[in-house]
Amino acid sequence: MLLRPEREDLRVISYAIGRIFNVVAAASLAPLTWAVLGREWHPFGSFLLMIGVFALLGQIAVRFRPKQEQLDWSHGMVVVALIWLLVPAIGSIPFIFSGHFGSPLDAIFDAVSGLTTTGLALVQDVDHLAPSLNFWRHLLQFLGGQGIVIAALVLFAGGGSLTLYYGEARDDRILPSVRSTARFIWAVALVHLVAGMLVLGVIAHQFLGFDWRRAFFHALMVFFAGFDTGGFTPQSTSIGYYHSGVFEFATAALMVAGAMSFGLHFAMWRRRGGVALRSLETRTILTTFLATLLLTLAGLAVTGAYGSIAGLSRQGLFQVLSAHSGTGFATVPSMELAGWSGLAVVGLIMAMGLGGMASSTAGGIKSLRVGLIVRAISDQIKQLLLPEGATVSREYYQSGRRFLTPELAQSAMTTTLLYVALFILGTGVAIAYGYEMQEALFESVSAGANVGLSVGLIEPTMPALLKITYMLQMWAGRLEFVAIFALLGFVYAWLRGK
Amino acid sequence: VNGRDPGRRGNLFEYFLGGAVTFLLEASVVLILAVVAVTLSSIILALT
Repeated sequence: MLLRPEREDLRVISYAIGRIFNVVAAASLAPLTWAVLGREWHPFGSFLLMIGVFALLGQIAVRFRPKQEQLDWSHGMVVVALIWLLVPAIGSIPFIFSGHFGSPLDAIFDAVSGLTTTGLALVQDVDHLAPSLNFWRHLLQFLGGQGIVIAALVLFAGGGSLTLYYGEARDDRILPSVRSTARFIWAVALVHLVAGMLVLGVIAHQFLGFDWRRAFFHALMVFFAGFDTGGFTPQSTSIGYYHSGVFEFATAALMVAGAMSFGLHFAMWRRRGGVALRSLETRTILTTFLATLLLTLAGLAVTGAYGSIAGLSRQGLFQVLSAHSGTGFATVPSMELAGWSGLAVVGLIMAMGLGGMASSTAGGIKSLRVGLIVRAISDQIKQLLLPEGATVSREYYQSGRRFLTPELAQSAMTTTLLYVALFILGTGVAIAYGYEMQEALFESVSAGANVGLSVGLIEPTMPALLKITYMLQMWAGRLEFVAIFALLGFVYAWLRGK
Repeated sequence: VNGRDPGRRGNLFEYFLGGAVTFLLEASVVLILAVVAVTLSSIILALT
């Protein structure tokens, strides 16, 4: 029998949401300031409205202060699931009034895509979007990649912060407390911000001939979307716009940084690179990366899409790296990507679905799960082949020696199955609308694994139900299901509980 | 938790030193991947 949530439960949830809204309202002052400095008065008004809504709802919510602020497991999960729905809904206000979206649904789609670090976009004429609005699109990716709730945790770490941390699909407690772990995650981002801005800014100025202001604007946007594996760019032609191998190289380094788990960042930070190389997850991602790269290059070579070694390796490597890291940057237009051979597309779909490392800003199934599943299967086969009574060692290395328990293997398999079901859902809906199997699968995996590469199916004219399906996929894929099941359970208990 | 712990407050130099080393390693990873991609492309193009 399910117990109906009490008024106190709602107060606890509302209070936590209110406090996070206040943090988001404060963060939204950044694009407002940008609009003032750039004298962009139309976006300024819409930013003011959005901040007002966040602040007003935040203030109302925190007025319902609970007797105890302690969040239990289900409260935390419900808060995370709701925050990841409500923030993009309210955060889309400046987009709705920008005149660059066909409908409010398209604006919300881009906000969801931004916050979940997916990078699929329905914005029209992005090349002429006001810089402050472009900044807000990219800032959403930064906030989403870092974990919007983790951002709040840095400022207030009350009781139950661990459940909020886990709710955002992070399971790596790097430092003893959640607050210090959250602070470390932000430290990594800020250091990369400085390094990334300097490197990209200087390249844009020296190699592309941009003036310093324009160079650093592009550097900031590409940093936000690259490090947080988001994939938005300030122009419709993505990274292909720059026509620069050096710029692509620096962008690729940011994508690698984004796909790395914060645990691995911590190991490297403490000069423990050897430890990182021994870990199951690092070895798995290197293996799957090379396999998908080989498939994609072979597929491209067979059709003769790129005749030279330089062209083939440059385009193949960048697109596979973008797909595997879950970034979604591209150096070829969607239409050209759609023309890639079946084998090359299979390579990209596999790379997108597998995703980056666990507890990183990337989406997808995640390399740790893949590694655990492969290890579990190989252990089972070994057990069958060995003489009766012999035992197979279940030890593996991942930030220390660990044991692959049946529960751990089952959990990895369950989440992987849920991802596969999510990919099938989006593919099925698109096929039902008459789209081809290959493009339907590509876009569905791209949405569910929070990648953002597209072969052109996702555009403002697609059916509204398909847009909603992709939004749900982005939301579920980013939170890795647990928080969403908790929210559904909470709603069910509210409606049917005793 | 030792003196190099980047989660500790007031350790600005260590933050940036650690970050700079990490960023260089990430760039090295891309360089290695680029070499691998060029090698694979050469072999594949030679075979096809």
